[in-house]
Amino acid sequence: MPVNTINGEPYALDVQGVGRRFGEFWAIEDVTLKVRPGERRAILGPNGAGKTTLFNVITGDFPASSGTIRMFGLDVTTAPVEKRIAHGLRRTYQHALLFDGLTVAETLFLAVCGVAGGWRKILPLRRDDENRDRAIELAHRAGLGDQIDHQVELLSHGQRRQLEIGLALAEDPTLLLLDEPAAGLSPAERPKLAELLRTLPDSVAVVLIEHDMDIALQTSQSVTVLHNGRMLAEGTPQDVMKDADVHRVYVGGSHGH
Amino acid sequence: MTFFLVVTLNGLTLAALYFLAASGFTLIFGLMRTVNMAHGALILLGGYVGYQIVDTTGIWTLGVLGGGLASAFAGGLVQAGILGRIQGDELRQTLASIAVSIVMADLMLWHWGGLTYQVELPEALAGGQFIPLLGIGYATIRILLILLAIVLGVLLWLLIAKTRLGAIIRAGVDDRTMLRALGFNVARIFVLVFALGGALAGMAGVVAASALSIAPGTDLQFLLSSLVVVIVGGMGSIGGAALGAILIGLAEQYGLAYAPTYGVVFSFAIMVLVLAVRPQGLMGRSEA
Repeated sequence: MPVNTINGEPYALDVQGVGRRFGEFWAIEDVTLKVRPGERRAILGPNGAGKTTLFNVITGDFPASSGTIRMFGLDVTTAPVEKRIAHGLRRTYQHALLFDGLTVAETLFLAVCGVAGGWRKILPLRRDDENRDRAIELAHRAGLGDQIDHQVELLSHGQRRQLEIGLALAEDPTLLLLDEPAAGLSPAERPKLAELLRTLPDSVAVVLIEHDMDIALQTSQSVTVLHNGRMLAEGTPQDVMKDADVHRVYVGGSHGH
Repeated sequence: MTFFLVVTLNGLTLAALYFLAASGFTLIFGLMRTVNMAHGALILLGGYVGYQIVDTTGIWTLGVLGGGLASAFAGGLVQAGILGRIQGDELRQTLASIAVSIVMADLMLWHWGGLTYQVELPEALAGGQFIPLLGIGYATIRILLILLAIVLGVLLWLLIAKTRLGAIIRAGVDDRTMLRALGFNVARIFVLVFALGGALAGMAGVVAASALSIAPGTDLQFLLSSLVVVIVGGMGSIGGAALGAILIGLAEQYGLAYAPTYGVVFSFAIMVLVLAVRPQGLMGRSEA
C-alpha cells in the first residue's frame, strides 16, 4: 500500500506508477510524483523526455494508460477534464493557446465561468456583473489592467503569457501546471513573468516544466528529472545538481541542448 | 421601374430564404469545422413537420416553432450520436453526414411520400401589401420573410457578440483545446450549437414551405444554395452568410429577369470569381 498522505494531509497531486502509451510506444512509463499542497516543483528533462505528456495525462487531455492519479485524495484517473478543473486544477500550454477573436476581459470572463458546474456555465444570457468584476480583477493580477478591452490578437508575446497565467489563476486554483511559461520571452519580459510567478499565493501547489535549468532551480523547492519517459532523479535542487545520472543526460549525453 | 423594383424584391426574398438556410450551416462549420451535408435534410424535415402542425392546428407560428424544434432535436441527435464520435476527422464527418442526409431523405419519402406540400398561410399573410415608399404592391409573406431574416440575423449577431454562449462559441472557433482546459465540456457545447443550427434550418424549411413549396429534392437545392452562399460569404461567418445570400439571391433573380437563358450561371460565376480572388470568402478569415 503506497503512502497517500503526508502528516495526515492528502497530497495536492499524487501520481502513482502512471504510464501513457501511443500505439506500441510508451511516451511515459511508471512515473510517480507526489506534490504537497503549496509546494513548488520543477520538472526537468531534455526534449522528448515526456514532460508535456505527463501534464496532459494529469489534466485528462489524454487519459492515463496505466497507474492512478489523485488530487487532494480524490481519484481523478478517469475523470473528465472539467471535473479536475472544478477540483482546483489549472494549466498553461507550452505554446500559448488563446482566443484571438476575444478581448482580454472576455477571455478571463470565460475562465471564471468555466469553473462553475453543469449547464450554468454555458447558458445564462443575462449580463453577469459578478463574474465580470472577477475577470477584471484577474486582469489586474496578471498585470494586464491597461489591456482589459484589447483584442487578444494584438497582445505582445509576453502579455499573452501573462494572460495565460491570469486564466490559470481564475477562481482560486489549488494545483497549477505551468508548461514552460518563460519560453520565447525576451530578456525584458522575463522579470515581469518571474515576478508574477513569485507572487502566486502560498496555498497553490505549482508544478513547472522549465527547459532552462537555472530558472527551474531558482524557483523551485524540489526537482523531478524525466528522461526517455521515465523518472531519472528526484530531490532538492542541490541534490539533483550533484546527481551523476543527471549530469550525464544534461552535459555528457547526446540529448543535451 | 416597377419591374426592376419587383425583381429586386424577389431577389431580396430569395436572399432572406438563403440566409435563413445558410446561417445554421455556417454557424456549425465555424465552430466545429464540420461540413454538415445533412443540412438540407434538416431544412426539409422542418418543412414537413411545420406543414403537419399547421395542417392540424391551423396556427402558422406554431408550425414555424415546431419545425425548428424538430430539426433542432434531429441535429443534436446527429451530432451526439454520430458526428461527435468522429470529431476532428473532418473528411469522415462529411461522408457520414452525406449518409445521414440520404437516410433522412428516404425516411421522409417513406413517411410523407413524393407529393409537393405547401403550408397554408393564415389570412393575414395570404394576400398582398402595398408598400407606400416604393409605390408597388408585394406579397405579404415575402415581406414577412425579409423582415424575419433581418430579425433573426440581428438576434444571431446579438447571441454571438453579447452573450456568454456567444463568447464560448467565438472562443471555440479559435481554440477548442484551451476552451476545454478552462473547464468547458466541448462535446456538450457542440451538441448545443448543432441543435441551434438545426433550429435555424427547420424554421427556414417551414418558411420555405410557406413562401414556395417543398418536395423530395428540396433538401438538395437548399444544401447547394447554402454551400454557394457560405463559400461566397466566407465559411463560418454569419455576416458573410448575409452578404453571400444577398449577392446570390439578387444575382439569380436579376439573371432570371434580364438574361433568362443564363440565369443559373450568374451565382456560380460569382462563386468562381470569389474563389479566384478571395478563396476564404468575402468575410471569411484565412487559415493561419
